[in-house]
Amino acid sequence: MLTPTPREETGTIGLIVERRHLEARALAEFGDALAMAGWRLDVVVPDAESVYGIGADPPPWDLAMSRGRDLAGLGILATAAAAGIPALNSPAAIELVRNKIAMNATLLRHGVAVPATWFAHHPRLFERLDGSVFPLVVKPFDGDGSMGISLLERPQDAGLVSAPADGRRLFVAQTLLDTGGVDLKLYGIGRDIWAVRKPSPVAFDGPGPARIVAAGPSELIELDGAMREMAITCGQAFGLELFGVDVAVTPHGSMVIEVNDFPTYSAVPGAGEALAAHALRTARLHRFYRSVGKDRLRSLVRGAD
Amino acid sequence: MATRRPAMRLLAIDGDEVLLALLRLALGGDGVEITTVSGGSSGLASAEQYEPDLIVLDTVLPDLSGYEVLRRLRERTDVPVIVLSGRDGHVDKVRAFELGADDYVTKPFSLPELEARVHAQLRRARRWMRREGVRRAYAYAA
Repeated sequence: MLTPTPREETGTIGLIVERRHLEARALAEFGDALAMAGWRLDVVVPDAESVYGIGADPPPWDLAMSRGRDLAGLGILATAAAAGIPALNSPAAIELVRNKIAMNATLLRHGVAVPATWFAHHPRLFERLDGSVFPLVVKPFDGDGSMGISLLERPQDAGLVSAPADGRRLFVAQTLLDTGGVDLKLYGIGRDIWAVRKPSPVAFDGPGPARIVAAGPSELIELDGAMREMAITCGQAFGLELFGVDVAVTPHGSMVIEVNDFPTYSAVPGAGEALAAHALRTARLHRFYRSVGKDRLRSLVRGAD
Repeated sequence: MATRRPAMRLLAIDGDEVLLALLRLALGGDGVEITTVSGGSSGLASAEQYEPDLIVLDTVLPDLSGYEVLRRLRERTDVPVIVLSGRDGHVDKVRAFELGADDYVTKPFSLPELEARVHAQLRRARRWMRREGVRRAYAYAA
């Protein structure tokens, strides 16, 4: 799948990755595939102890990538992108899905089915919602993965979710959808899409905080046209090229619960190689764009600069 | 699951070498083998020799016009043709469709949109090939 690389062509890809993702299979394969193509991988692990500078010499990267939602990591990505290094995904695209309010509004605008969604500064405010819209799932507007999820079965449960009332936080509430405990994940790398079914890691024993259970085995399943269309639409809506779409398949149809940047690609065969192929294609395209010059480029392609 | 099919063949005919280089980078590799030529006569010869499943064709070429290339192509094949042109007037578009174009994209174009259009035509070509029992969409004679 990797495009043959001319012997003299090489470059460096910067990968900003949270420590907890360092051992991920797809990332190891990604590094191997880049090395086989003759490209270097420069891994940066953001941490809580470092001080980072803005405006220093940008790293000598042909492309910057970020795996994880560590804020310092996203800062490094934004700094690299501001210095003119192409980013995969772009900081703007990541920000749109990091903010679940912007994410849901964007999905709605593009006609993607999503559960009814509300947001408020404090979870207890959701008690004002009509009882008919319960049960609700509540989560921080910028939560990562299954972090901070709670269940409100009825308005009176709103007090079960603790949060500081400092007016600086935001919470999202969504109608709980019955998926039978099974999640459908659609994974995208450019135009390549895969569908994976896995047991949900989130369990509710009753109202209040969710119990996070060990992830069960993921299973690659046949991708149908509707899944592909849903995934491609979500990726395009946010300008994401590496993305995952969490879909709730209910008796009443499929709805998108969340869109994420740079997911795990668990159970996706050859994910690392596909990531490398897409990263190299992007890096080469941007190298080409720079060689052509802005005016010439604008005469050919829209939105490339 | 995403399955890997045999590569589809794309022939790009355009007088602009920079654009051809861009198309090679942008469209090649994703299950697509791409060949590029910069002239109308060489484009027609390449089509015969290479039997592509899709042709991307500019209207302005150094020797023949793209319209003439399209007319001659349609005498021998119904292979899908996307016209990629700097001309955005309705007369040019209608003319291209009358001559047998399957799609018309104006420059400057959006790369994701061009990719989507290319893959939509290739999807249709694959269905033709299955239905007709041929190995290449180019063999689907007019």
